[in-house]
Amino acid sequence: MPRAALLIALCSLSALAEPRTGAPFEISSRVGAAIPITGNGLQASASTALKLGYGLPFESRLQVFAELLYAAPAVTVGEGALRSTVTLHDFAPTVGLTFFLIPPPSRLTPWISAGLRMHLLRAVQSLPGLSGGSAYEEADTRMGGFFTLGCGLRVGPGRFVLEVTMNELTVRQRITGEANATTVSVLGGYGFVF
Amino acid sequence: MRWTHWVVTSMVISGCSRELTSSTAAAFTTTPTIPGCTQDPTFSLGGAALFPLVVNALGDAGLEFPSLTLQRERDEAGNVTEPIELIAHPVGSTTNQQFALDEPPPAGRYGLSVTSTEGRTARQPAALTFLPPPEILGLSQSFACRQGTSNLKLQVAHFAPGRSVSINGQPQFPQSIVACTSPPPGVVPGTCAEITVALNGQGQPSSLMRVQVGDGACASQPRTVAWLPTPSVSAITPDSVCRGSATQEIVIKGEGFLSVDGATPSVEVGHVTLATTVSDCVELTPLVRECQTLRFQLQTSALAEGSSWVTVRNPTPADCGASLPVYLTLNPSVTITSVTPTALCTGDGQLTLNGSGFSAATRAQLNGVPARHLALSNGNSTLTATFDHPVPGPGRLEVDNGPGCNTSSTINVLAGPTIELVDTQIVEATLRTRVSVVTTGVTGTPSFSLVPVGGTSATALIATPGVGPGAFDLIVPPLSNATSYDLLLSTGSGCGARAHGAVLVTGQSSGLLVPTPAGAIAGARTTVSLESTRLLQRPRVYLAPNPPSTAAALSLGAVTVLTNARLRVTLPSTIPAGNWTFMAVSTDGSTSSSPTFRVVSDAAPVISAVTPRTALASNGQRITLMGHGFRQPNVTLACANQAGVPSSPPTSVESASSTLVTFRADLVLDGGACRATVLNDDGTSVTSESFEVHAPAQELGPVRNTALAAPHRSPVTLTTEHEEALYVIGGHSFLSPLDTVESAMLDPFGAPGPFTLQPLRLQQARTRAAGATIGRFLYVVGGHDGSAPLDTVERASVLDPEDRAELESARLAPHSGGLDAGTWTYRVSVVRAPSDPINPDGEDLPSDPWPVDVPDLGPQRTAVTLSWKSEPTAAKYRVYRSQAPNAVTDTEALIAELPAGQTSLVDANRPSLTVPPRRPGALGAWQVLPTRLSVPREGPGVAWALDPLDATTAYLYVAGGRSGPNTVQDSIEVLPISLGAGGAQTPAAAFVTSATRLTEARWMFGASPASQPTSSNLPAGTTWLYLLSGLGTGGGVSSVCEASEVLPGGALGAPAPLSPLGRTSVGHLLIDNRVRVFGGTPVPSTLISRADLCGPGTSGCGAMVQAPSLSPWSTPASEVMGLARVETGVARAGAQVYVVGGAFAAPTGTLLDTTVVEYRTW
Repeated sequence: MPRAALLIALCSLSALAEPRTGAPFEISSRVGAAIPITGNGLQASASTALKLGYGLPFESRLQVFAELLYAAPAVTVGEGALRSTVTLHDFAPTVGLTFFLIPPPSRLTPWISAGLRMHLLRAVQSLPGLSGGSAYEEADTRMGGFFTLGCGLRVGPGRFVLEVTMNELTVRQRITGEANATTVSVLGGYGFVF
Repeated sequence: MRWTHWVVTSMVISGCSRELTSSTAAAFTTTPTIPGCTQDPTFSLGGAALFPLVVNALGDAGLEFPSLTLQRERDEAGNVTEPIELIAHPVGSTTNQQFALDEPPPAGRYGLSVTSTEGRTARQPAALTFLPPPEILGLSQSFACRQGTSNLKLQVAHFAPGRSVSINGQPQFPQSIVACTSPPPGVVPGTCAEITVALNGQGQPSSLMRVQVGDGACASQPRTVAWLPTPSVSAITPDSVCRGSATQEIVIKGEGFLSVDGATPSVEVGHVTLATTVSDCVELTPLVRECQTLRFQLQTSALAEGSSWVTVRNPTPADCGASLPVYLTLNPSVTITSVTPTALCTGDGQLTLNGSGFSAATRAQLNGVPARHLALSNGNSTLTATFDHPVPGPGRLEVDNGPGCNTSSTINVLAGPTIELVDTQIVEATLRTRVSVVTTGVTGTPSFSLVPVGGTSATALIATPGVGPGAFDLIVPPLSNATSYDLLLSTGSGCGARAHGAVLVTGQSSGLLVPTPAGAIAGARTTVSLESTRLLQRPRVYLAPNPPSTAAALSLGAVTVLTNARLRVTLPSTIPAGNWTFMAVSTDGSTSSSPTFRVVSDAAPVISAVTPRTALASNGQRITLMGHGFRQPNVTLACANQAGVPSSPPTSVESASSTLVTFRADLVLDGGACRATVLNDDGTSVTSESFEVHAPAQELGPVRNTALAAPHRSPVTLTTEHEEALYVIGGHSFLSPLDTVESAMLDPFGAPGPFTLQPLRLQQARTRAAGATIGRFLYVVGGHDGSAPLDTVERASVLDPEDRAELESARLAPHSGGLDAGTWTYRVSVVRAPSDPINPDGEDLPSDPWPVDVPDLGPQRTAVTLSWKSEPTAAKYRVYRSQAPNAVTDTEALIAELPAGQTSLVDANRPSLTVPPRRPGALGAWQVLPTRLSVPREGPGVAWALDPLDATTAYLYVAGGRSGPNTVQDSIEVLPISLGAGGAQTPAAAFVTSATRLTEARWMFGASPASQPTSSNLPAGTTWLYLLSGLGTGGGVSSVCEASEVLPGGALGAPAPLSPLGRTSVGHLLIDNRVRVFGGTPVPSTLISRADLCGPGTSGCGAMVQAPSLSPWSTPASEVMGLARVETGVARAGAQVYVVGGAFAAPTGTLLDTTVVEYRTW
């Protein structure tokens, strides 16, 4: 992770030396799946993200962005009437830096990104026999990093995008216990560039 | 709101803040509908929302429950008590509603506190109540009757409504729960003191039931209730007692006799109630024992004579009703004042006892042997006892009316004659009947008489010595008093003998017997069918002189019971001419008699020919019968249409002589066949072979099918001379030559019965042979044995029902190891000597069945001595007998094989083998003639004819045939056969080769003779052989058809060419003036080709052309077979033609052998 951040920083610095060549703003929406990779019982869940980016001058190879990400992986424990489902709602405001390997005016634009997420966590324990809602809830906030490989295909006023992201997260709650909740998310969508 | 709070809080307290909240914490409810039990520290909280918290869900997950604490508020009585706190914990890991206390709680009411996992606490007062386990303080009864229903009341403590009541572990729904307390609301729940449950003992496996309230750890101690039975009696001993005994102990065996705390069951005899003692007991409860034996003392003076009912009733409170009644009889005491005679003869065991107390229950014994018959008379003051053959010497006579109710006397028994057996128990009152008896100890000349049972009027009988030691034949004269008679034997001095009730004389006949035919020929054996208007039961049939004379009626032995109203009897040839009456006497005493049956000395009528053999279905058809022995004849017709529906068309005789009868008949039939019966004025009759009746537009009738038992291809197919049976001989099946012979009996109109295998086979398997029926012999010529063509000839005779052994008598004698009582049936057959001209080394048909009624001789059994006529050419005799008494006819099996010199057999229950006698239609042994063909011939044409000038010589012609793969013969060989008396036939020593040859060599072809009168288009007095088309030398069809005249001496005239036929004619028939060829060769075909012998008006012949010429062959589409086939056998009997076996083509083209038999009228 530190090596990736260093590489991104070096690329950004080199990009700053060039004049800007494309539209600076991007707003994009993506949906996909978040897949836990730590083997602790969490199951894959849907995930969605909303991104706002700004391309820096010098061929716009660098972009700073802010993003809102949501996923809710769950785990089931217990048996009989005490069989419970614990859902870990994760709402993550994010800031990061993107380096376009080929400048954006190109039709095909690969990139890498990295940054920090603030995970606003809420663990909810629900039971089948309990009508109308959950039995217990527990809230918590954790910081984590991420690293993304992405690619864009220019179509119309923007581009179709596909990203694979590793989201590093450690949770520490009474309901969940202390555990590694790192996921890999695969998201796709469309971004407007203007 | 929560989300907003979460987001804002999370953003503000980033990375270090956690908060646990619950929507349900400490919000619980309790539903303690039933109080808990102090012996059971578990309890449920129904509807509670006490959910556990999941912790460490992403690691080693666990649950954290809210903590429960019970605080005792009041004791069981509702008083406020010092608080006691009890800690509860959840039970198990799958529910949040089961909890357990760490220790059993004291009885009382408890509040419940719940502290949730996040630390909040809620409390519910009066949430739970614990009571001690319920107790059963008392039961309304300790017993219950198993039969019926009753109520059981339980006095209980600590029983709260809702707890269960069970019997033998099965929950019961209480009838009522009463005496309940009603504490104020909020205090300890109320309890009830009395429960009522219904009891039903039906189907309960145990004799005890366990009653409990509550269940599990909270159940009461069980209490037991005993099911009580209703007593049942299986035996009472003795079941009769004597008035003379003052006190009698009676023993009753049974079940369910109860002793309750020393009280025993009571017995009710009549209307007297008596106490009992018990034994054979087992303990049900400490107070109750169940016993199997009762004893009581009976004062006989307390009862009336006769039968009284006896019932048993158990003592209270175990009285569950009385047993079903049994009966006890009180007999009067018995005394004897006199006994006559004072000395008894061993052959006449009848004693007359005078005294008192005799009844139907009185028993008498002489030296321990019970009397065979007892009779009361003189107002029960005289008892007549009959003993079977008492042992000579001093005897002790005992008479009793039951145990202790006896008396005795001394009788001297003298040695004397005895009547051991009477062979006829039932005679008809008007007949003079011969009865055979067997006696012992007779010296001098005895006299016999019949005395009505219990009477004194004697009828003397004529007695002559019978066959065998001590045997006598008695003539029973007509007796007016139809009753049962004792048969008495007297020697004039000293002891005589008596057979008690030996002969039953029945009243006059009440049924009518109708004989068919109505007359017979003296000196000839005649089979007569008897139809009765009333049912017959194992009848004995007599032939009595009419009008009655001094001669005794003849008992007919050869009687076959066909149905219970139809008999077949065979009259022996010894019946003299005269008028007779049939009489049938059944074992039930009923009788039937016939009108006059005439036996005449005239010659038997014979029909030799019927012309025409095919008649038009129309009114007024003229038919002529030729033969001899016709005497003032009348003619009747019996017909069956194509569907087999019988009818009797009206007839009128136009003219009649002793040799010719011409009559007209209204043949309104839808095709079919008829048989004519000539009925002479003397009652004798004869029936013709069947002749065809056809509709104007009809030729061959519709096809009907049956089947062989196994496939036969290229068989020889023959019928008997008188068309009683159809034979399928040899052939091959799936390339294997056959030596088997199948046969089927034909009904009067030619319909075949089932095909069965003949017991005797050909001497040599052969196929593609040819054959002929000459008289009573079947000849099979040439053929192929699977490896080479054959030059041999075999023949067998059709067994003649006239050539049967004749049973003459069956005598009975007592024998300890003999036959059981009942009707046994015997037959005897002759095995002929090798020199016999008809059936050398072969077994004939058996005699008619001869039923023998074996009497019931008590401990003794019976031996039967059979005698039969000696046969001159017999080598052996075989004796067959039914395998069980009263078995149906035709189940006889071999019991003995005797040498020719022995014509009688004593059967003392000889073991039977499973060998049956020959059946009608059976053939004698097949014999290979010493005479051989000059060359082997496969597929020859074979026909026979009588010498035109010598009716005692027949000629068997064998034409053509194949001698090897490429050698086809055109020669014709002739075997002269001398026809002797009795159907004997003597073939010449060698075949003679005819100077006439076939125009063209061929094999697989048909040959038939034809002559007047049936083939009316031929010149009178001539016989022709028709030799038809076949296979030629090169394998192709030789279409040549020709005819040669049979000349005196057996020579054949020059062949006359006939219309050619392009098919082989192996399956052919020449009937009257028409030839038909069935099927094809080598390709299966349904076609039937036909040609007519030319004559006046024959289509296609021309005006000047006469037979033997044939019209051109035609193959009409209206005449086809049902199954396309080749190499069939074809035969005719009466109005039917038969197409038998052969092969048909499978869809693959392969030829498959078939069992199908088609038959139809021609």
